[in-house]
Amino acid sequence: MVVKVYGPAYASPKRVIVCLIEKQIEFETAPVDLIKGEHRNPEYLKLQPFGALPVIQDGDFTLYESRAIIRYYAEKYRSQGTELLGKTIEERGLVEQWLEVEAHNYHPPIYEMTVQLLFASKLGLSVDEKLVKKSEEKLGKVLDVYEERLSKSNYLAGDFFSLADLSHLPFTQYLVGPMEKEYMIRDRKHVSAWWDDISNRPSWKKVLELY
Amino acid sequence: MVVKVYGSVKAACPQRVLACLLEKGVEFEIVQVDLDEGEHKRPEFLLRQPFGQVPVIEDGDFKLFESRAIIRYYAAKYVNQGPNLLGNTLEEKALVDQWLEVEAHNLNDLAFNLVLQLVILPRMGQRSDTALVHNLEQKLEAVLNIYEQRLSKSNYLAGDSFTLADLSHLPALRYLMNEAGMAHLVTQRKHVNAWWDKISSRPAWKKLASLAH
Repeated sequence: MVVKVYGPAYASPKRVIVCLIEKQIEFETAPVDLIKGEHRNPEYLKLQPFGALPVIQDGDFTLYESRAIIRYYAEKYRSQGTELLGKTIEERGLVEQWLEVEAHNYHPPIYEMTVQLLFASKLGLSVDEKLVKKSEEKLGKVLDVYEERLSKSNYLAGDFFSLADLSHLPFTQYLVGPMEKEYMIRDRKHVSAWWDDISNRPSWKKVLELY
Repeated sequence: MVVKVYGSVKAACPQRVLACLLEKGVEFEIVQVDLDEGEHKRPEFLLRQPFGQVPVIEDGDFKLFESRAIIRYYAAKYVNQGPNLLGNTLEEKALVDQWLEVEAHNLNDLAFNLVLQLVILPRMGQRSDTALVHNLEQKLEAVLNIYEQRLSKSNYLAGDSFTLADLSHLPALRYLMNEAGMAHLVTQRKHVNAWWDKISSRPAWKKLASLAH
């Protein structure tokens, strides 16, 4: 039985998909159209009551929240594919720290920018330029902290690629691609090198090719 | 060696860590960080936590920040001491992480903004935004309806035992129910209310309350 991932067209499900590819786990996907409001359908809400993407079904097991899903698979398939959790409990602690940083400091402003710049017009709403500017400033400050961190270590949690770095892939891809804000990454020497490294991993290239 | 927790015993995020350490019977010392004075934004503190946030822990040479990372670390490090806060199987652990994420993404911001509007701004002599409060309250009601559904099927969020997922909710819900006067959000929901009674009666949480006041 194969893991089913809902909503592959969107960013948060891609967080899960790139993890599954790194861990060499077979999966299939099921589309969910946000613009059509399919995430609000009763059948979808039975799986994910908050109406968010993604959710996975793995046999009888249903799980939602992408960062919970990636932790689960990184641990369940510890012995195969890329090690994504570090080697010791302390390294794991640092992976968790930077995953939380991504969730609480990086994600909120980049998510606002995504909604405004990539989805507002699709939903028939006007772009809130002030909010975009404020979010960009916030994100810039976070990236300055990343620049400092990545000047001391190759990846966020240490000198090893982990879930913490992986978690940044989908929305940062939106930033450098359709949002046309690649300068935010390129203006920062170490962030730029880190981005090149993680976004050129075969797993991420596969995600971009498939979805 | 005793774990140093940088923060204030009254602040929500440090409380998340302190509650966990108390549950696991891990000795700690609190190093005050004066948030009212802006100590967390000063250069010396930024060396410890570059985003200017509390808490941070120092455990010998090991330093860690982000409360939900810290509680996961200690729950794993001391898995065989005190109650198991991580679930018994990998699937239960995944549900712990799922509900920790739900708390972080669906509940925390709403609760924080309500406390800001109803408690912090008035304390600073500023007016709160009534329309915003109403909006936040409605959103929080919708979220707690989902919790009510969940807790009608299982005693605790991740299953039949108390875990980090439940613990993580204690600080914000306490603020909401006490200082922010929003107890009805919990008490009007039968299963949420029963769950709140259970988790807030735990000795570790009561011990923290006595430290805080």
